[in-house]
Amino acid sequence: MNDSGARPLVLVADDDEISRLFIVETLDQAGFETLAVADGAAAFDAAMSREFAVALLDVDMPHLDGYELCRAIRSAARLRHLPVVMITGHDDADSITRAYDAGATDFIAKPVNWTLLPHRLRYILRNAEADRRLRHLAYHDPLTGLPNSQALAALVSSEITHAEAAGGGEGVALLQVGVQACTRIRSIFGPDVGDQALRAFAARLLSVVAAVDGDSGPHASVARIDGDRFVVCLRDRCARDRARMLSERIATAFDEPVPCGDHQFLLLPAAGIALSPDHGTDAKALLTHAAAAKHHALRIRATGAVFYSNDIGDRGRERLALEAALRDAVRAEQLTLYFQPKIRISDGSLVGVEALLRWFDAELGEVSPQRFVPLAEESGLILDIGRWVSQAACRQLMNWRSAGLETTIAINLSARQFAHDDPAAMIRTAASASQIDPKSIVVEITESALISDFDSVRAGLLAVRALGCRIAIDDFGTGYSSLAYLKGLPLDELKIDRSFIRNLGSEGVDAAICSAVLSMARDIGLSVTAEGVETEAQLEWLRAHHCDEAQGFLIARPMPGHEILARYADRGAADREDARVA
Amino acid sequence: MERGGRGGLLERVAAIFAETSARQIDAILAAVADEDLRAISAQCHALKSAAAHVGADGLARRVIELERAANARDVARVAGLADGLRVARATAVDALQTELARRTA
Repeated sequence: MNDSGARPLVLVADDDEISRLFIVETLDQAGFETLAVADGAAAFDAAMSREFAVALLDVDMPHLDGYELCRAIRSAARLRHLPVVMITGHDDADSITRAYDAGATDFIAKPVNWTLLPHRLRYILRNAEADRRLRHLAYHDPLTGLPNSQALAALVSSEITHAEAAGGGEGVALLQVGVQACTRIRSIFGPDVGDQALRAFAARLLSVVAAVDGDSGPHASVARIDGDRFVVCLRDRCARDRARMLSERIATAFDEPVPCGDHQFLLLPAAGIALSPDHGTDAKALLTHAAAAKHHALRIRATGAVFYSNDIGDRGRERLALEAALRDAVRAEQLTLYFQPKIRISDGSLVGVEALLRWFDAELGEVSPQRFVPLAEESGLILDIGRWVSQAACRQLMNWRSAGLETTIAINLSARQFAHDDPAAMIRTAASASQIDPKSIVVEITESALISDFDSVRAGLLAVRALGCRIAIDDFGTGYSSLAYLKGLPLDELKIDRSFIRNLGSEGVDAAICSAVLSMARDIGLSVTAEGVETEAQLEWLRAHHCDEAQGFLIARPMPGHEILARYADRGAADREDARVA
Repeated sequence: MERGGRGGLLERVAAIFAETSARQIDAILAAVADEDLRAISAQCHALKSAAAHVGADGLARRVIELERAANARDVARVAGLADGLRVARATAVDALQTELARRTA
């Protein structure tokens, strides 16, 4: 039975006129609607053209007998799940077995018990409805109602088979579309708004696909395979061109913010396309390659869709291998920390060090942080690495203190750590394990990380500050952030990005910017560190403009912990002695 | 194609049965004369459902036995059962007409 209360439509196929009349009359009286035909071929045509709730088939019919008809129904995709009941006077074991082998749902022997027939059909319909719901749950995404990854895999396989059978250059295109903004929306506004945003994204994506369907070619299907990832599957003679056009329409459609309850969100998609047969001839390969292309689009911040290529695949595999090696390195604690000193410009004294991650792999050699840190971010390894860094930094601080060096240590945290971890708890645990006062710890976060997920970062920074840590904005000036951001944050320090320091010493735009930052920071009570100081001229300019602190190769390169100790322990003791005497 | 309907069912069934059963029995008897056991079985299969549907139990039983005899290739039994077919049908048609008359009275 359906939920709408409409009379379920029953297809009756029986060449015996009296049987037809009785079946039709009985079902009509019992609240069913019927369509009766006298032969198997007419029954199949009817089944293909209308939506029946159930089919009642006689076995002995001209043109197409009941068994053949049942098999034909089961092989037609749109009729695969239609309940089929065989009604026949052949009630021997062989006939019953043949009926079920042909795919019959149930078997009723003649003479029919007319009282029982409607009850039996209702029971079959209830089971069919339960099956339909189970299939829907198994093959659809509950949030958007779209087909899920399992349904998509089956669909892609079927489309590839059809394209191959059709020949004539027909191909299949998979367009994987990701919308990372939804993850950020979820972390800032909570899961309900995050879900709303995903539903709104799905609705707009569907409307674009439907509009393109209307303009050209056969129907394209949309599925949500997980999280923020959607896939459009289409089969066409011009699959490449159509996928390109679709991706352009999608990009244009999402140029406009998407209304979502009380909010308007800009949900910019990243898209990757894989084609069959060019990029793979099975569903798994095609899905993998579309994902790799989308991932690449995301990495290079492409505005349009990226087509898969072997180069993208190779780079993807390389990255995976590197990720695996990094995972092993994290597990085996093969990462190490180097420390770059930071001095007070007025007197040259050490005010702290910044902990910098280094990875020396036996096979790969030294792997640049520029290469492995983004990978750690993407893979989520940054969370484990972040915990290890805070513990290692605190242990190092304790060792230095035991050896007579008192200083502070800065650790870098990423937006992902604020979104998926509890940095305050992480630092508290690490500091406590090494009996370090959190006041000796400076937390650095880049300006771009800050604005990528402002609310969760701000909340995390407040918690970290409450422990007593100092907070510094790293790479300041590169993240296009508004000064309004700074007002709402518990900040102590700005670190001016090295790109502004490079040209100091000669008057110019960079010098003007540095002057402005120094002035603004002084006004709101923040200390300023210049990063990337490499020349005396730069240091002189900074001193002349009352910049507080400096860090860079001119002062010292990053070095292992024991070298910091060798270089600064005596000086630290001397500084303290001077202070005591004074 | 027929859409579901109501009313006059018994009259329609009686009329159809009177016509089709006569034709089917003619076909059965012709097949008996030809000793075409497969045709006998097929015709009996069609007639037995119709007979059972209209409540012609005597005719239905005889046709079922005839179908079984044909399937068992028991020619002598086929001939014996075929002999009484027309009488059994006439009895069934009369009973149907009587029932119709009773209902319309």
